[in-house]
Amino acid sequence: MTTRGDGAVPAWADDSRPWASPRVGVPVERRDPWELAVHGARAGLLAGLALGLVEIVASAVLRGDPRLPFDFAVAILVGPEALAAAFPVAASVALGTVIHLLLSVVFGAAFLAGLALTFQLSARPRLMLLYGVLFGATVWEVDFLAVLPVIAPGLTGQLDLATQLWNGIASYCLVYGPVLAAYVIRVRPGELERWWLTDDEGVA
Amino acid sequence: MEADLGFPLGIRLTHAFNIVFLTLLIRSGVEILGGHPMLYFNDDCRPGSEWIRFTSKRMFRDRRWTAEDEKQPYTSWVALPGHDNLGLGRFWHFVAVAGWLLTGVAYLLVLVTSKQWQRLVPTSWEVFPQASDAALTYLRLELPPVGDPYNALQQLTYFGVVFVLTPLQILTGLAMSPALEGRFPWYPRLFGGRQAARSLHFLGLVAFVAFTVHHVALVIAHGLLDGLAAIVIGAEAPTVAQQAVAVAITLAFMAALVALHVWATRRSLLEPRAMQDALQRLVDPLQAHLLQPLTSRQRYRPQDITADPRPNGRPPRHDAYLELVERCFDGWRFEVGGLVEHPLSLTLDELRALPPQHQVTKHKCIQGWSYVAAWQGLPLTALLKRCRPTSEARYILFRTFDDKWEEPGHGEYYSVIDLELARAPQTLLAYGMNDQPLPTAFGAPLRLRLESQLGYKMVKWVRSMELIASYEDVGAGYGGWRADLLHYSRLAPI
Repeated sequence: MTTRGDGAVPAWADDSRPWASPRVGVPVERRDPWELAVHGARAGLLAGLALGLVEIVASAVLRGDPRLPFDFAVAILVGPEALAAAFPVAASVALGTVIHLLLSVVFGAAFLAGLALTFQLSARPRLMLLYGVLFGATVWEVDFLAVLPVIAPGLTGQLDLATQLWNGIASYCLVYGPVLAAYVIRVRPGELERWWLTDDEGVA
Repeated sequence: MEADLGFPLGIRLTHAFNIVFLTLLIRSGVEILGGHPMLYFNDDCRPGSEWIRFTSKRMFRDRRWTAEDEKQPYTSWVALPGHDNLGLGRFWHFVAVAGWLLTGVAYLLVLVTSKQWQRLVPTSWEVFPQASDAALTYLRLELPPVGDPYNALQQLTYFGVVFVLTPLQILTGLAMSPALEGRFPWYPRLFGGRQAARSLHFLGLVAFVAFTVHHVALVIAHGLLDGLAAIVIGAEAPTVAQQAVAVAITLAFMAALVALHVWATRRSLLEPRAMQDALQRLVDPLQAHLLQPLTSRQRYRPQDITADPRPNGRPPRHDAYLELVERCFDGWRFEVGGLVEHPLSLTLDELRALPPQHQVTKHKCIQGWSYVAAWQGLPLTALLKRCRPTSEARYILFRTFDDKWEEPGHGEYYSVIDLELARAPQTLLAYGMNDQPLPTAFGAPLRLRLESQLGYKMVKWVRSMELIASYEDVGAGYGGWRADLLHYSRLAPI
């Protein structure tokens, strides 16, 4: 059954193979807080830029107003008056960009921290993408269902369904989170070695 | 109808107990996961084939290692009790399961003996389009109209948690029982196999956590104070005073819950023996009556055999064993004594000369991994016929060469099994594995196979067996090295 055709002893039954020391393994992840914070910030910046771009395009297409994402970002800080037509465009774009990217960086760092705490820095690519999608959904939920109604309750009635669907499902789940995941897959911060088998290595 | 339903005392109490037992289940479940922090969809558990892992290391490819080396101790902040206490973690898990099931039965009784079932059970297919409308309303950051009493999305969600997710957790948990799988090998296959069941069990835990987070978030969105007043003191349209009472009771309950977890964790870590005694008194009678009597009927096919099975435990290092290995076990004798009419002393050749039994079965470790292997050996029942136990004999004590050199000072490995288990048709003293002589890593020259039990009961490197009337005077008196030192149960049918 498991005896090889040449009659040699299979590896599992080979008593001459040396033993490793007890309780020792090969580390596959390194958890350096500073390194992970830097990578989290970079990933967040990248994902934030992608998210911002998508939201500008979406707002232009859905509502004919490409500055809306900037206004909403500013409104988190200054309130609903940021949505008024009289609010200066330059201030909206500058402040909105800063607020948006700052939050993106913070959430990016949180994503990396979550991966590190649960030993997922070296997760398989497909799983990492799933984490990205779920994290994007969570960020949207936290932003729009929990934080926004508390810090800027006047804003919650301003968004129509199409914008919400785009923001909630497309932008966060399919852009922000997956870009974070793609960064981790590409750069593999904290990963020392790949542990998983690929399909051609006979993974079941 | 909403005013009619309300939250009667039974619903409120079961809701509170549900919180208690679920939190215990989750933390003790994390402890168990740490025993083998990898999840698979294949029962061979080939290293690297796991779909998810919760550990920062992989094992060597050029050296041998054992599953003990793969453990990942978790902090007590997330695991009960934490710090690599699989035995007590399992006891806590099973006690919490029992409490949770009793709570569930009480809850179902309240549902079916009152109109409360209307909260959860949809009575029209309209619930699906209505749930979709409610979801879109939430997406607009608005609240859907109050339902009857729940809106359709809430009703479907609660129905799913109570009538789909909860049974799934119970059924997948049972699928990990070696006794149940041994007796009904088809059962874990309903879920795609033992490891798929383990993975689904974990995903169910994640689903429970996710549900709890969303549930709390939506209670807050719908009005936290009104919600608390309803579920804590049963007050619909509560006054300010009633809201204050509900908040006070909730805070007291949360404080008591935290205190319970702190107590359970600290007492388990500081006084593990006392905790083992207490929890074992609750768990072992249930195991003994429900699962232990099940007899294995496994018949796996040769093509199911795992190509590279995991060993567990390093071979002994003391001189007597090493000399026997040098001599290919020439001179080794298996001693059978104690409460028998005919003590025996058999060489390996004499054991091999007796009519052998072959079986292909699945090995299930307490840590969570598994493999399928073919075993050749002597049915224990045949040996019992030869040695003839006296009427006082109730247990068999197996002594081994296993000096547990990795954990010095704790004595040699031993285990006690019931005589009934020894007489099971697939209970074997194996000297061959997969058509090879039993390798040292897997227990050469002789190991026990108990196909309805977890792996730690199947002692390796066996040197003798002794029929006894009681195991109270053996070791610390708990019926096994792991029960004595690591606070496992003597029984291992799940």
